[in-house]
Amino acid sequence: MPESRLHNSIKVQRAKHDLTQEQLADRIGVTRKTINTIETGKYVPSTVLALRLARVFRISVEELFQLDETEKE
Amino acid sequence: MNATKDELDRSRRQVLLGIMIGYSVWLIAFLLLQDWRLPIWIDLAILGLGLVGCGYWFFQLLRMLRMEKMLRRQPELADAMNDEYVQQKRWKAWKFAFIAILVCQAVIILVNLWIPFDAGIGAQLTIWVGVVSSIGSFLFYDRESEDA
Repeated sequence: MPESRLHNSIKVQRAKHDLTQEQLADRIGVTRKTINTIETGKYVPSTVLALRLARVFRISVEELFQLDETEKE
Repeated sequence: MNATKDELDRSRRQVLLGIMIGYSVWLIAFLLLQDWRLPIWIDLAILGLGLVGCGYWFFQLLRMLRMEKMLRRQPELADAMNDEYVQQKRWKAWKFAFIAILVCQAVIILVNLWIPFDAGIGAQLTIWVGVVSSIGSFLFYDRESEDA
């Protein structure tokens, strides 16, 4: 069975839009800690939060989050 | 707004830690003041320490109430402080505390087979385990990530 790992480009998008974690947190109504844990892949956000993040960067959710599937040994 | 959020987050952690410490000091003092036949000056010292713990506990509870009152006036800030990640951490902490309470009860029942003790002490210990395990595990899950 393939093992799924979720990657995201939030850090890259933040840099592109010149946003700090604090500013991004303000835009979507969460704490900075939440942005940090999503960015580092420690927390997988809900669909609503993923859509809100994608909306801030004006890209699709698929562009922001990518599923990397590797075969489990 | 985020400086406030970060400050509030720090305050929340301090309040929770304060409640945990204050309540623990008070409860340990309460348990030590049971019929252990200690010299009176030790009893008085323990009583004093317990009262300090109790006072600190109440002070932190007042801080928490003040924080809640402030957040009630700012629903957006309240929502952000209680976002889905915080709710997930709270849920994990409750699960941990539930298991801790079950284990504590099992230990109390087993110990009571050999050394019978007052049911009130058992109940106090269970409440203490519940408070410490729920708050402690929330603080653990809520700690700042190192790779910011």
